[in-house]
Amino acid sequence: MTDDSKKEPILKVSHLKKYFPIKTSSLFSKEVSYVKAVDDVSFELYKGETLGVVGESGCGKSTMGRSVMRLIEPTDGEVLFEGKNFLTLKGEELRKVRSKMQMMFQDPYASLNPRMTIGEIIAEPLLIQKTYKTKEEVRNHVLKVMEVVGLNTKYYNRYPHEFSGGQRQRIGIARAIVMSPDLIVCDEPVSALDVSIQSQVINLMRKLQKSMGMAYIFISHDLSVIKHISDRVLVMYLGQVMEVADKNDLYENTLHPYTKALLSAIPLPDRKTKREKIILQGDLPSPANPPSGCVFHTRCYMAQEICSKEKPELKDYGNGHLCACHFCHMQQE
Amino acid sequence: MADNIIEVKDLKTYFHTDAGLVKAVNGVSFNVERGKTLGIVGESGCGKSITSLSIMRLIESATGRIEGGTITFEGEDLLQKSEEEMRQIRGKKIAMIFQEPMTSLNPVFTIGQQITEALLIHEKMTKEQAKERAIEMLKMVRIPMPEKRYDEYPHQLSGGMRQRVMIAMALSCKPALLICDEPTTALDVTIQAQILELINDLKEKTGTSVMMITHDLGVIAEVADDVMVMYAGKVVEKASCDEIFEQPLHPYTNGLLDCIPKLDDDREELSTIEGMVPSFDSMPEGCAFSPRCPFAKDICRNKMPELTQHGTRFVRCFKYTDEWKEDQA
Amino acid sequence: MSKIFEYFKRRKEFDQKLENNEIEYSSFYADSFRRLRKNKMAMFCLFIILFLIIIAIFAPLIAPYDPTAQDYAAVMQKPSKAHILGTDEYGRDILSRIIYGSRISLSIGIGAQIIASIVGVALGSIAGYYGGKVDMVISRIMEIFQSFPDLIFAMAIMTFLGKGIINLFIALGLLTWVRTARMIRGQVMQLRETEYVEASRVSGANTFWIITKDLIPNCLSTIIVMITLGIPNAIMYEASLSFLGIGIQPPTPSWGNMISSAQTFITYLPLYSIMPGLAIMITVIAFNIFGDGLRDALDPKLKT
Repeated sequence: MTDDSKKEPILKVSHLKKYFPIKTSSLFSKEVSYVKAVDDVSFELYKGETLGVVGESGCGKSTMGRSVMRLIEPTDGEVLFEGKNFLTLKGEELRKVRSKMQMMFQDPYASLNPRMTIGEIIAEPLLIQKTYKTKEEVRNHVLKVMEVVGLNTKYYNRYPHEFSGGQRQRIGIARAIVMSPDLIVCDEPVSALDVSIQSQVINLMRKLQKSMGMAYIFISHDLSVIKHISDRVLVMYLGQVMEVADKNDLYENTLHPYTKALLSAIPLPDRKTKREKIILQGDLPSPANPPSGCVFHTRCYMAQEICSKEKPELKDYGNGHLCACHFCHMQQE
Repeated sequence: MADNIIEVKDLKTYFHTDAGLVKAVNGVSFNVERGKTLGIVGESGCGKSITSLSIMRLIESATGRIEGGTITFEGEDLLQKSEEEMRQIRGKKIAMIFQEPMTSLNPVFTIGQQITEALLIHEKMTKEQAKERAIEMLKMVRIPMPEKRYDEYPHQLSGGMRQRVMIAMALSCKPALLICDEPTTALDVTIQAQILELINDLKEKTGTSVMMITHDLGVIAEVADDVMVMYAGKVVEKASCDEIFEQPLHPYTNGLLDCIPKLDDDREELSTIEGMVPSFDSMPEGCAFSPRCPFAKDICRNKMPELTQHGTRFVRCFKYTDEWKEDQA
Repeated sequence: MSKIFEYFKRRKEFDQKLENNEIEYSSFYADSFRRLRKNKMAMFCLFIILFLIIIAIFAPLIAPYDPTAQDYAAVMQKPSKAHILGTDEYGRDILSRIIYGSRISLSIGIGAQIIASIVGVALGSIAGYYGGKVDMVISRIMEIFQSFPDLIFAMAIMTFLGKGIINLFIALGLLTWVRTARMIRGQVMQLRETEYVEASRVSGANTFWIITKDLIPNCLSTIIVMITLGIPNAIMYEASLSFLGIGIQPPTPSWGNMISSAQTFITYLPLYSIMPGLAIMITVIAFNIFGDGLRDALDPKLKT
């Protein structure tokens, strides 16, 4: 990977915000408060790279993924995809650009239309984008893609309900790669699968990335899975970015207290290693009423007075390792 | 002899569906020692949840039936008891908490009403006494401001809080055995850590024995003293927690441990277990795991191995029997 | 004829193979049909419906007399060999009139329902998908239509439009579209949040594509059931309107207007009013039971 290919990110997200209005009373009131699901998120994604986005429920990672894809229209911010301002595209242009970004969903049971055969499901993007003129061409392309993801081509005419969760995720993968997109946003694609199937699907996704060169935004709450598949990791909490780093940097040289707590909370299948467990007290604050200053300060074991007053900026601590905490520098050796 | 609070022998629960006979639990035997935690681990469809529902005798549906075995609790066979007798036991002697605290709590009653319901049914208390005990329980599960929470409704609480309420309800009548069916799967990892620590703590304080059912081997490592691994309705390995992690015997256990992505593991590709769990109507002859087992020989494909003892452990695999060496195929 | 037998034979073979696990794939509809066949009562009613349809289609071949042929020599006759059910006040054969009456009832029942469904599906899916102001407008329109008592509403429309079969279609269509629209609106609102719809949007699908390819096929079972259960309603309305003299006019035989004419003669020739009434009853019950069975068969939640 030369420096040239890293120069221009294929996706540049700046100050992305998604606020959901909460209406208090019905007819005549104005929207008084907002659920700040995504609150000023910025990052860059390079060709062929995997950015892991990790956080717990309510942190806004799914909303962020959908906002980037414009499944939910962002309230504010800029999304530059391959240099173009994605948020202002309309109509035909938008449809063309959409062929270059795709999405994978969490629920293998709800992400496939139960009334369509899997051949039709995988072919759908091709038909919407009118890529081919004849049915034959479409069918051949679909069969090829099925082979690549490890689905037996004789299943072409079957319906989703006849497949297991792992196979359905493969169908989802097939649908996502059928247009050879440059970017795939994966929203918890393996969380609903059994452990032994998870590893199969993750291996497949990596293999495809190597051969097809697409970038992934891999959203998950599972730090172990994230570590395996990501090149860089972004940690979110209550709609804001806490830490961004290269994979190894994040796990070996963790700066943010939240990331540390997350890492220590993961139950490890290992009886020997004794770890110091950081158990966070309290519950997640409501995204409708986030804490002042640093949003994490209410549960932070290192919180000082300044944390409730001033929101920390995302600073670079070398090597592209960003952290939003007043006391990050103290963690560094 | 160990002091076992519950002894399950050869439990069989079958479902008679339109599509065929589903042997969800097919000859499962295990014991839970007093004051200890038994972890039951397996993937979806292995029968672990049905096992716990069978113990509670909550399988009386049109299609499901407990077809055999005995469940000895406090010296009596639960399978011989009448529904009325079971009702005395559920909630009082054996309590259960489920995966989805969202749906296990009734949304139209307050927390307080739901905790005291269990108390008023099983113990002779006045309403005031029940309320006092309920608030005590809420304190014990570390819910802040328990008096205030007493009057709140489930939707006002977060997932972690609701699970704590479930635990409070379960422990309110001081049961001898607590069955937890995937209690933390739906929770965030930091909340999960809190809940697991809480369960461990309470176990020490109250001396309750625990059955922890989960698919997450990490959770098992955190809380279990003994472990039982299930696959396709049968027990494939039983050992103490340390033994299982140090040296898993059964190829399935081994495969499971191997394919979990680990934090300190830098391999490019994850190990996998090829194939899928067989569906009930295409169960292989012989060992159910043989189609996916890297060590499978002919004998595995033709005969079902028995659960054999190895020192303090049990494993259901021909690799550890004499017949293995004889079969060269 | 032989083609029909062949079809049934192939169907049976297919089922056998499915039972024996030789063929593994089956579509949702094939599965549903299998479930339906297990419901003996529903199948029996299906045969009654098919029987009625055949009678309606082949009426000219089955009816012994021309239903409008008047025979003053044989007025108000009790059942006899010549006239199995007797004759009415104009000497017309009652049996023939009942047979021809099935044409009216069935065609109006089915036709009006289909019109109502097309309108209902279109408006319901648009309201459900877009939500917001569009939904508000359409919902208010639905409420306006629903706020009138059914029969009086139909009467008002018929009076406004005048008598005639086409107007009857329109009136009955306008009456029943709201029920379908509501159901479809509800279903679409539920379905539009599903992930496969999101997947289509991500691929660049426009609204039309999503509604026609993703949403409506998933509502199809609801639509089929609503049509089937709506037919007996439409038949009842037609009968009531004809009974009141606003629907089908004599001499065209309709079960409704036959009952109306029979009122005067009820003590003398009770068969005259009982037979059309029985015909209506059998038709309505058969459609209802079959519709229920169809709904159970198509309901994916009951799928094992």
